[in-house]
Amino acid sequence: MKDGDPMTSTPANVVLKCLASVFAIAGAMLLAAAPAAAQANADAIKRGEYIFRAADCSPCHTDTKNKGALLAGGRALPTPFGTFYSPNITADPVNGIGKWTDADFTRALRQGVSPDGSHYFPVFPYTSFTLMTDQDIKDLKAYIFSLPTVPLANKPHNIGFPFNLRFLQIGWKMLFFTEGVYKPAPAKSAEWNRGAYLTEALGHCAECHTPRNLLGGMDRSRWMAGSIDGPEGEMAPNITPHEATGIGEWDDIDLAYMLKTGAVPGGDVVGSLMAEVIRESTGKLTDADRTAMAKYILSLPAIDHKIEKPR
Amino acid sequence: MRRSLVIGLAMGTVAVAMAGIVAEAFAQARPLDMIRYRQSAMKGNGGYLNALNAYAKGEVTLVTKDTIKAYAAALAGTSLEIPGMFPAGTDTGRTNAKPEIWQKNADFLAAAKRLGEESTKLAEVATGGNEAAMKEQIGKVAQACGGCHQPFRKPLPPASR
Repeated sequence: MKDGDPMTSTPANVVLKCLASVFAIAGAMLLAAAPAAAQANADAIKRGEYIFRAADCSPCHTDTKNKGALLAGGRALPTPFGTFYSPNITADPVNGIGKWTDADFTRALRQGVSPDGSHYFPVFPYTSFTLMTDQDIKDLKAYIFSLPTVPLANKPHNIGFPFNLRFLQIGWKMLFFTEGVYKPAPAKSAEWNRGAYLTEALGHCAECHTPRNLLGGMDRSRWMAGSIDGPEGEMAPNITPHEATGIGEWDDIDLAYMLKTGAVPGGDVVGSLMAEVIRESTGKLTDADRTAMAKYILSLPAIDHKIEKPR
Repeated sequence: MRRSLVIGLAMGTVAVAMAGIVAEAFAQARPLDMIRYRQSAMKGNGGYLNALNAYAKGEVTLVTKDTIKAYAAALAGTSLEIPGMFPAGTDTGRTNAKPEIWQKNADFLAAAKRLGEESTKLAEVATGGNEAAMKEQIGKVAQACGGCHQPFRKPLPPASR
């Protein structure tokens, strides 16, 4: 351009130049910020993977028996109310949760409400996940969104009237659900609180090990005292430290070892659904976390509740 | 703990003695005998594993790497018999075997093979004598047991464990 060129001297051009510089600076800042953001996301994914393990998401959301893809759902979950089929929770935008915002994901876990406002059935253990911290929920989403997406459509649940009426879940929640993040007990040690958080919020152990009433609500007076008709009709043993009917003969070393390997003090190795929990969840945690869980569980009130089925 | 070790040894000895009986002899026999045979063999495995677990938890100083090698070899030996322990006709009656053993037989055989691999590896690790490595590998053997129980054995009531 020559001097005096009208293009260089118009006010509009000056504005354009200024804007260009602003964009250049902003762009440079973005470029500088991008690696930091990518690093932050990588950290979130890494933390989220551990949360994913501790919360044992994969067994229910993967149809392993029929060699289904990870988190693509479709696993049959038979209950006294009918058979549920777990949904696809891969980040597929059509069939999965790919369009969910952080707020959607948080609301699903914290409140048991889907992005379209409908209420989940408590076969999804939001009743436990409500205790999770915001940070853990966000990290968990980051990890799930880092996994391969699978375009598999959800299978409709096969549940009878009137249990199939989703709005009834509002009443169910009023009766049996308390929303809110885990509040550490100040009188207890950090290890105990960590164990409680892992057991109650992430591990959602009580969902199977606490008996349920006729409406499917957990019986709080028999917390972790075992259920004769747990998931898939299996018995879930009493895991309170009751000597005769629970695991009162175990110490924290025994229980932590069982959570790692499946081996129980009598010489057997647990099969059933607990084997999945060990393979996908507790077997992949740190020794310190397993010990914290064991100590917490053995600190629960011992409840006399014999779990036995006529054979 | 010493007592559980003795019991484990005794049970293991029984299992090995029984393993000496040729499995094919059962092919013509009544199914209940095979069911009893395999249940005893599994109880023997449980005895070995339980003794190993007691060691892995850090409570038993009596155990040497030779003990561990012997137990590991016994577990590996039983694992070789598992494919023959579930002939046709032994799927009903007083058994906790799931029909999946016969329906998904390739998966079942793979699970049995894994017990052989993990216990053979335990024998190898024991040769080295590294305590932490042995304890870690004992856990892997236990996981191999559970890896077969979950898909192929009916859930047992907690009391019978």
